[in-house]
Amino acid sequence: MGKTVLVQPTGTGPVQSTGKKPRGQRIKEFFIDFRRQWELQSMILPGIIFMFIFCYIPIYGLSIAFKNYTVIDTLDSAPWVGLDNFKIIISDKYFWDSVVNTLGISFLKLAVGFVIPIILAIMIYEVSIGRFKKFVQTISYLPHFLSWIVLGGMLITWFSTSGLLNEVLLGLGLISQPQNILLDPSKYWWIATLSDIWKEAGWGTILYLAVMSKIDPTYYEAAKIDGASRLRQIWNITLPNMKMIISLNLILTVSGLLGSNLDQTLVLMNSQNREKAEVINSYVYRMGMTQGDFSYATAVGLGVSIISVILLVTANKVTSKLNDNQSVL
Amino acid sequence: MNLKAAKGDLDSKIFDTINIILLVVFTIIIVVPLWNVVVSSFSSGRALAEGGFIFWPKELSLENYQAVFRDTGIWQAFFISVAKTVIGVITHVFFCAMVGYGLSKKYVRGRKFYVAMGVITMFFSGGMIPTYLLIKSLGLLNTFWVYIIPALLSFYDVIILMNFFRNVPDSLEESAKIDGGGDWRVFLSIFIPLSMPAMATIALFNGVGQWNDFMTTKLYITDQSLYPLQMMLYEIIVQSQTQSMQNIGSVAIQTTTKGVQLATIVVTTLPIVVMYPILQRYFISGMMLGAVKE
Amino acid sequence: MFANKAFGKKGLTLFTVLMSVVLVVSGCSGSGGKSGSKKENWVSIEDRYTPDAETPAWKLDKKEEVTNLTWYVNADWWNTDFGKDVVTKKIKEDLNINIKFITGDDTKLNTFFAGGEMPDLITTFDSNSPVVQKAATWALPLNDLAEKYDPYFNKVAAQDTLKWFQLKDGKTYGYPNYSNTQKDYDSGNIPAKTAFIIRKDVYEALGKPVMGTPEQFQAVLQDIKNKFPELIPFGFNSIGEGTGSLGDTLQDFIGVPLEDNNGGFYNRNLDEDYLTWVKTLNSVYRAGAISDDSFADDGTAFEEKVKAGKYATILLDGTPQQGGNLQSFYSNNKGKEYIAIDGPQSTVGHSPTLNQSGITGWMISFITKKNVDPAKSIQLFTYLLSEEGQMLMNYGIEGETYKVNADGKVEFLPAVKELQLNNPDSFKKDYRMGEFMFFGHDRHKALSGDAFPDAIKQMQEWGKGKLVPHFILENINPDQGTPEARSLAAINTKWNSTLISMIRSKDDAAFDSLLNEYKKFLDSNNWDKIVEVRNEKMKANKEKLGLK
Repeated sequence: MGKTVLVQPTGTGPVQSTGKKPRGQRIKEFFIDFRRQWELQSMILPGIIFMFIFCYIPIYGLSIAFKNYTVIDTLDSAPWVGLDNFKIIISDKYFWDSVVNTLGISFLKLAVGFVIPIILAIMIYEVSIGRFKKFVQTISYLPHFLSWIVLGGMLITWFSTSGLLNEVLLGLGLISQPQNILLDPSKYWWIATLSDIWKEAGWGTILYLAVMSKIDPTYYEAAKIDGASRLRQIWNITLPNMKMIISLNLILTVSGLLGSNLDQTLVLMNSQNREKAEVINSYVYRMGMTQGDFSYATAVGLGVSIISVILLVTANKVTSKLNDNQSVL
Repeated sequence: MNLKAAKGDLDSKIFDTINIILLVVFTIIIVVPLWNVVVSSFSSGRALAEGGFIFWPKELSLENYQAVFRDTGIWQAFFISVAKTVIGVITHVFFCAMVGYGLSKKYVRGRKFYVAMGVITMFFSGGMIPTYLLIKSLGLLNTFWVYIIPALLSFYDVIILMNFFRNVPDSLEESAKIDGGGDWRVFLSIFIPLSMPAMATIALFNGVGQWNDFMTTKLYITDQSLYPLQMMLYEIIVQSQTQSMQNIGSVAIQTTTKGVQLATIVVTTLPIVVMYPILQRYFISGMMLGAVKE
Repeated sequence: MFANKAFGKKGLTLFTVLMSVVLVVSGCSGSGGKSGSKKENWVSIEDRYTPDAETPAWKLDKKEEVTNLTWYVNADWWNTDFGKDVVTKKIKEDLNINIKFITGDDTKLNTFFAGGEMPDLITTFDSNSPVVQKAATWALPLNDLAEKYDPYFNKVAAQDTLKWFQLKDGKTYGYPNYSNTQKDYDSGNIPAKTAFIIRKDVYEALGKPVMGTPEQFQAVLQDIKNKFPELIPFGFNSIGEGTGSLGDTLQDFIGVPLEDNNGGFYNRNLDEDYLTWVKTLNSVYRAGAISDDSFADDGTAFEEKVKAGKYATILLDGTPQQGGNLQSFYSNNKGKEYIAIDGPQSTVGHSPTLNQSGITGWMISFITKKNVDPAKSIQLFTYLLSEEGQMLMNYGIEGETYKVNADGKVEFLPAVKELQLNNPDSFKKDYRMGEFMFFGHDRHKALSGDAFPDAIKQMQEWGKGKLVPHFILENINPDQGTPEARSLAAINTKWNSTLISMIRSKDDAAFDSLLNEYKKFLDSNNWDKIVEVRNEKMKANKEKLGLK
């Protein structure tokens, strides 16, 4: 079945690309199209205005990164220090340690935690017993609502030497002495990753399930007639239909590599696991609390933002290539 | 043909069995700690202080919930929470869908510019202080609308909706336009109904966000009658933590902070658990209306 | 063409353009925040009253309209109610004011400065921050206010304290609560807040042992471990970001000197006596008498264990903060309650130098330049600082909520006491005694047996005579934002983890290498400069106090 493209006036519908025209004419065409598309433009414009007011106007606050700004300063009164704040950050050993931890934990969460919601969503999708399906779905997202303060407190109790984990491991004979793994730096990255997955995996399935619900069931019927196994059906039908949303999530996750969960860190970190637990935003938070250092925090934030955008663009390029040059953005 | 189908049936059954077993295991892993939370919230503070993992309320007591509901202001807060969630979600979803629809058309002029602008807002923010000053100069401080207006647009949501809209076949739009419909008509009568799963998802995310948010209140609201549920609960927890600090004579405090925290989680989550099934049918359903075969 | 390459190039160009515009605009001229000209608001009191040095001005003021004041407290936990409970109702009546409290944190505080709209009164907690140190730029001097509007203020404010908070221009802007001067320490009115406590049943079962020397300490804990396997032999305040009660608290407990022989800064962490005790704790740990969990527990977990009586002994800092939990354990376990005993002693004969609130206090209040009625505000300060105000804040109204009994001790009336014990929320809402603590003071708490829970009274008794002022060590940290301050933050973090690691070290070799690592860390992080800064500040402190 060939695609029929109706010929429509330029700019109000799908077009075929034409060759390059002279500049003047292009600009004229731009405005003609703009007027013709006014309905669409009128949908977008409020969004642009909103972003301008609420996002772009406050951006002048980033100048704090280039000033020495304390609690009693206004944006004018704080003295300009240029790149000094950045120099301090770059020469701070603890800062770089926190970068390593941030990247380590983020990569772990990406490698393990990215796929799990997808697999889980597919598993739920494949269940045919309606009641069980709904039950599992509802249960799965409940941990998302626990605050880290509560969950962290629970983990502290369960990981204690008399807690649940040690009881189980001793009972199974896997260890001979109870151990509090929260005091062991080498275990921290896994604790952070796995507890985060437990909390968020179910919530992460929601978006995927929404996409999957739009897949035409006749594809599955056809595949069954052809004798395809369930796994094959998933591989050939379900997954390709999710390419876009997976790409979107992947891009956004990659761009967030330098971020981390502050609540989780503050609760699980202690003096013994700090060398592996301190991440960028917990370090900056501490600097802000003890030093009243707004400038430091803003400067780090600015640096992280710039790198995140670069990561985003790169990830977008890569996923586009894998998706036949179709970009999610 | 029969052999293939029969083999397919067996494979299907194996798949289903394994699938269900794994999901049961998963459910247990999730439910056990959550059950512990619920059960602990119905235990007395003293019993909780003794520690240990419980599967049934220890020293059954409603004191944690009493601490939460003691303040009659909580009903006003509940009302505010509901209001801001309902109004906030409806306006937010519509606004994002509108913008997302416009951006989903590849022939829209200036599209790349708009998208770039939007993506930047996802990463760069001026920070709390300039935002506070902006809110102040817009006159939104200490008003109900500070919950709604600054929350109208999230570019992440716009991107999701944009992608959903793209998946609707061009032919639908073309046939509608031949009939003389403009873009708004097409948007409202075709695209929105077809993208209900996406809209419902965004509604859910945004709804939960509105329901749980208390930072907005903390920064911009001083009038207690505008406090949402989460802010009240946050104060209750903080107050219970500072009871001992206040050094108020020989008071034997029965509730522990832990117990009150658990009760607040149950109280906040319950409405969401109740609401979710209502939205859920949009995820499960999804037959395309008048599917167009290519 | 589809957003891919184009987004990259066009997007980046757009971004760069936007950013440069924004930064240029903000770098040059005044964008955002009104410029900081804080004009003062000296109202005239001509038609209201004539100041009199012998009478508090609030009694003389004839102003009829109610003054509405906004009072910002830089903390999350402050109770913002006003006017409905006994305490604030009386304040409202007597002074004819209405106070609206606002709470927040440093970011909120900054929005006031940045936005130009200041509250009338501000209370903060950190004496090291520029808010306090640069108060002259945004607050009104108390000396001038007193002179102009309420000379009686000088009668109720402690001169030592005023002098302590003097800024470079010779004026005082902020006034604290719980500011204890040398006189207060000498009077014996300040209760100790630190103790080494042990469960009574454990103590008696072991024959009331002495735990003074390291050997005795170890032996007794080992005994406890054997005889009471369900208890944790030794507990301490949760570690969190600091050292729990094993750092400064332990040093004060065994009396480590506050300064070196020349009156300069002394690094108490490296004191020999103290390190001997740290080594003892390490031996105790290796013998299994300290639970590893104690190092991971947060404040909540620690309090739960106290409440459940899980520790056999505790080195406890902040007895009033645990008063509720100790009382709860006591009322459910008569005969097993915690009592204070002498515990660890110095191995070189030092006496304890227990710490309490110093001259700096902990809540510092200011009257801002934008205050709508500075006269009324200084009257409020005077009122709260006076005997009348102090009694009101702590005990309420005589005859209505308390009475003075035969021995001169203050006592709550039975109905009030009943409410305090059984319904703390109602008590707080209707009465609020003991909570409105601006300018509160220990000497008023000493007036009544009801100020503290029974469970900690014996511990406070034990601490009598062991308190030593730490005035010279107050406010000696490098200023915020200086490289020394940053180094100090790193050094403190290093010490916190070193101390805990030393206590948990597997053998002596590990212990020693950790200690050496810490010493090396000091050298490579500006320690000399930091000591220099501290010496200077100690000298300045001594001058303010008139000490040598």
